Amino acid sequence: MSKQIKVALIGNPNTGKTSIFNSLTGLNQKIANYPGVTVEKKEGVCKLSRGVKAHIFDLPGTYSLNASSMDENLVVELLLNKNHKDFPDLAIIVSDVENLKRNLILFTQVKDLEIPTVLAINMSDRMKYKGIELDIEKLEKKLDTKIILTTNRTKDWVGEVKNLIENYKDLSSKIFLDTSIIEPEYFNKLKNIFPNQQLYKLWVVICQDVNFSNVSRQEIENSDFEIKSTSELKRLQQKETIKRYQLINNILKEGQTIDSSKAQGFRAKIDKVLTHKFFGYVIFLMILMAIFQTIYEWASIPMDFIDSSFASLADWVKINLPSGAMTNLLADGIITGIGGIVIFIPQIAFLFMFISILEESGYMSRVVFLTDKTMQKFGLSGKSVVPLISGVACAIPAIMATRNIESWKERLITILVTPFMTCAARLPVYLIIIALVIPDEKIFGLNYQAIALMSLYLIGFITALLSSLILTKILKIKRRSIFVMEMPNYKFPRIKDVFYTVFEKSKSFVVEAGKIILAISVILWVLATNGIGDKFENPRNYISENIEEISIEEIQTLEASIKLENSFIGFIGKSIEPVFKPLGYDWKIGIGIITSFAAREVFVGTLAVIYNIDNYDDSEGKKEEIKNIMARETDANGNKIFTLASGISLLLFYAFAMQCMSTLAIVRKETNSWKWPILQFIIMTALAYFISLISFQILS
Amino acid sequence: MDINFQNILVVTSVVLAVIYLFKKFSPKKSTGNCSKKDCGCS
Amino acid sequence: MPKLSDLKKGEQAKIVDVSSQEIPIKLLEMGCLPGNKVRLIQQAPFKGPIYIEINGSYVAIRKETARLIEIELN
Repeated sequence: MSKQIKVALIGNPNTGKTSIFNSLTGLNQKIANYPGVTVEKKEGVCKLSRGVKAHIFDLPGTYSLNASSMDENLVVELLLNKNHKDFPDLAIIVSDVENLKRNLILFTQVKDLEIPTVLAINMSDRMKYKGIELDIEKLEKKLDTKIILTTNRTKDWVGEVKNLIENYKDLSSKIFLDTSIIEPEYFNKLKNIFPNQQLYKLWVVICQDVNFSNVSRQEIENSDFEIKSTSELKRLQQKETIKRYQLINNILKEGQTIDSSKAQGFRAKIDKVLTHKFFGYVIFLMILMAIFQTIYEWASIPMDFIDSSFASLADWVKINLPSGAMTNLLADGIITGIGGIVIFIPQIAFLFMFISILEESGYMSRVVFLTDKTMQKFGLSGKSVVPLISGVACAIPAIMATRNIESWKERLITILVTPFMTCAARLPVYLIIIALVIPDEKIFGLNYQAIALMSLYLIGFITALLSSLILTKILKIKRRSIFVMEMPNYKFPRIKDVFYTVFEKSKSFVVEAGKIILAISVILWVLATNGIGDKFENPRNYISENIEEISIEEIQTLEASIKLENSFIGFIGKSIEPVFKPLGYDWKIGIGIITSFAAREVFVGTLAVIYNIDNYDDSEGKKEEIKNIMARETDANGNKIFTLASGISLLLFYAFAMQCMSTLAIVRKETNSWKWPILQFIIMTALAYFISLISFQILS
Repeated sequence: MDINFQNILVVTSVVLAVIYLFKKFSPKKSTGNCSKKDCGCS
Repeated sequence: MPKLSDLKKGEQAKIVDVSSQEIPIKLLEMGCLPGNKVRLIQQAPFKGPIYIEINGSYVAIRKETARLIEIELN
């Protein structure tokens, strides 16, 4: 096997690091877990010459190695641990040409870890327009590194970068700043106690909660070396920062000239409107409404197409494959189950697209700025707006996006309330039930069904805010008001980057959910088509009506429904029915709810599978639309199952219940405790049960 | 149940499905860090 | 001594002291260091955060933090 070179892409947030990553790797990317905007480490492969491959890791954006939030910590942990399997052979520090001074802080810190380092100065095409001139040769010499000017406009630089990666052994790994200069007395003492350790590494470890293989934090604490108090450490960190700034300033004085008369007018003009005391809020609301409107308008065309394609696929399978149990499983179990989720890809993709455009353009930071004060009143941070908005797509990346909230209390509350936001997985459930129980009529030009859907989104949002209000009052955690946020330049989102994001996110959403739905559909189908006992074996003997008087088709339908009720799934469903009866649900819906604790969207697939079994295909062998089958469903007394009362009760259940294992898993990971996900699960589900109970009892 | 090719396939897929779900939802060890407090020493 | 929180929209000042322990290091790394110039770009309503430019960096911080930073008006 040829050697693979590991490259870490490191840089401040908003420097266009992801664009560089995309340019180097194309679609050869793999994202650990659910993708947020680089909240998790992303990995991609870049082919070099002679069959050598480079593994590129796109690390979360960070301002320095003094990590102050969780995703920054990820970077520090990787860079300190030489034995980590992804420990880089070289680091490419991506910096923004307009903010070189600040970006170089991080550069010098990484360099001090003795990692071979390349400096990529990005957005270099804006230099002229901003009046910036760089003396690259001088900078390379002073910073002891290789510099590449990168841009989104062209790709000439890609070859150059690949060349440097290939010959990374020629890069300098000398340190930039002798750490002991910061405070000789303190650091010399440290050096004497740990003579074999690299001084700067020790310092970084002392400053934060990370261990690295050679020396753990514990070890330092146990040694006779006295760690200073937090405020002392902070003073030293301040000294370090100032020292670095001084050195960088001196270098840039020689290597960079800025003609400030060419400063920005564009940014100031847009900011004047978008952060305006009044218009800022109006514009934000209008953007949100426009997004929702477009999603529903645009998505319906591909959705109809997908719907009919899956129906014909199931028919085709039945006709063309040899008949038998497996063919039935394929057509009635697998294809029906998967079709139930694939149909929602267009809406999910549009949702992800808009959210990624909002984030890439730099607009999201303005919203954070505008809403911080209001969100604080509810115990949240302005930065909670980003997770709450992306929670409309999926709670998982949303919860990961809370990592840049500095205050633990604000972050915890955001994590706990985000699942109330109406995620894309609730959408299939909402749409099918609304279509069943809410009339398709208009009042004052507004469609009842559209109003119902809007109300559900509002209910989710209001519940999230109210719960945070309550949580702020009861959680006994001291809140520290820390909030530092960069206001990035406005950028026109690169279409390619938006495409990658949408593609990756939709793919992982569908693949993750799809695998679960597939597995559950298979199990459900088998449980529903097998059973024991005479009622299952000879259903005809148990038909209560006089067989002589009814048609053959009716006999078949009755037989099928008796069979289903006495199958394994019917047995399970019947035994849990008492729990759901007070909410107005029959045993089939009960099964749907149980299975959707794996993931909400499983509900539709489950009902599709169950209802498909006890309904005979009509004479032409064509599948009937699941919605019509559901509309016909009646209980033993001939009353309809899906009424306004049971429908609304079901909608509210899905609005409040915590039915997503993956979200619970991510909450466990992000809060590092089982306490929060368990509490979240119990409280949300209990709330759902009681609200549905009350609404059904009032409405029926 | 008769033993034929299609039935064998069905049984296999059910077994695979159960194994998959079991693996997916059994609690995993996770490596969390910096939780109960604000990160860093700032 | 005037504080950063006293700055009015559009005004410029010089940072004098940032030694309070409550100031996040991150803000210093963004260039909020003694001697650098700071300008207030926008103030969010209801005493919300302030949006400032320091040393070519554009940053939003809360009033509580701004109150800890001493400045010198030009």
